[in-house]
Amino acid sequence: MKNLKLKSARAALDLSQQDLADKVGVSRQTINAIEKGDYNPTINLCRSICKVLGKTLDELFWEDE
Amino acid sequence: MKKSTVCTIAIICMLILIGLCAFTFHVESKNDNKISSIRKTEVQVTQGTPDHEKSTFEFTVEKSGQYRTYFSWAPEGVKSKDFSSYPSTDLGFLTMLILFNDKEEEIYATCDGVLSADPVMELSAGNYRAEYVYVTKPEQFEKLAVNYLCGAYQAPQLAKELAPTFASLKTDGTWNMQQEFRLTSVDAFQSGQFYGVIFGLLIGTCIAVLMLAAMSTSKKIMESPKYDERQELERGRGFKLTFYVMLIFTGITFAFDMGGLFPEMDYAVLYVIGLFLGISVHVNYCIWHEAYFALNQKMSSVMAVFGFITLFNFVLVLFSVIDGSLYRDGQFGYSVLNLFCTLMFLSLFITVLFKRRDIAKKNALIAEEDEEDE
Repeated sequence: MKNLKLKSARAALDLSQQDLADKVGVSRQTINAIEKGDYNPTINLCRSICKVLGKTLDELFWEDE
Repeated sequence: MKKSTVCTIAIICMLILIGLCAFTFHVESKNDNKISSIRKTEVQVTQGTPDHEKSTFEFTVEKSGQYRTYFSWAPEGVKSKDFSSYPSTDLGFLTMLILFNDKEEEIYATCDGVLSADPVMELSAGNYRAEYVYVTKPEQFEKLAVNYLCGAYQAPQLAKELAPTFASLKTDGTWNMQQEFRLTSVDAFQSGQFYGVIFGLLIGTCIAVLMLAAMSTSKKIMESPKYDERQELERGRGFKLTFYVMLIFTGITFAFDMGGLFPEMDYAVLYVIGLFLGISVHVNYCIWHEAYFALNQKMSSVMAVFGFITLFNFVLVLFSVIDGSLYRDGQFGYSVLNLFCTLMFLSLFITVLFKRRDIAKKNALIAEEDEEDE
């Protein structure tokens, strides 16, 4: 399942996948895989992403009903 | 690790190496189970018939065991490694090796050797006589077969195959020939091999230690490659896949071996081929799942290394094809490893090439999507 919330939060800050990857300390492919829903990140990586994007875990990673 | 510590370890390794070399030479000088003889002769050829029909070597074996005998009969200056490139009838005759014990019993005979023969045989202590016979006429095969000097099947078969091209010595005149005879204890040879392995390991260790000492000065090189959590996960999957592939490979090899269908190669070669297979599977999987290159590592430098190793090994394969060492005496030689190494690095090179294209395509697509979002 695609993570559109993450993609929009990233776009809102005008960050490319590579920019976000560099800030979080992962590869660009990993960010791409998370956005495409191909990879489920660990809680540590989720927290790092949330910190960089200024969002909470719920806002980025909680699925709406 | 401190530089001084690494240097100390390197010096200790060197000292051990020197000590071991001294020990090896000491053991070799005590176990001198090697007999060697080189004779130079002139062969007069008149009307296609050489005046030299056989050579005799007498030797004494002091200790029972397995021995490798080596006989050769070739024009002076020709090296034994070039023998395989000579057609079997080039010199005009075939050679036979016959070994007699001190009771004049024939204990070994072969006509496999054309220019040279190096059979391994079990010899008990005693006196022996080796005859190296030059078969100059096709009719002689039948005589040899009658005397059981070569197999009843082998002799007529060889005569049939070679008679039409049996040239005898081509040119009348004088030929300078060199006969060589060597007898080496296999046990001594194997212990030599063992020390050789130890020697190689020590040299390798010393080089590695010296390299580490040099590398420890550069912080950038000493840093271990950094992979993110997705890459670590994919690498783990790669290891799992490699494990199953190796399991299947080992199982198939075992089944073939039990069924008597072992490939025409040494066990050691097959083990290394299995190793190459495992590495190929793991690295190819990791490259394709973007988990081979560490964060911020450039693909182009790795590609260049893969390309260089492929070319280097390919050149070695070409050389082994030219000198015939790739497949000799019905068996693949160790140089077949260069062939598999070439294939392995070629596959890695191609995978990186395709992955680069794939990543470029994906990047373009992502850039397009980002622009659309904006």
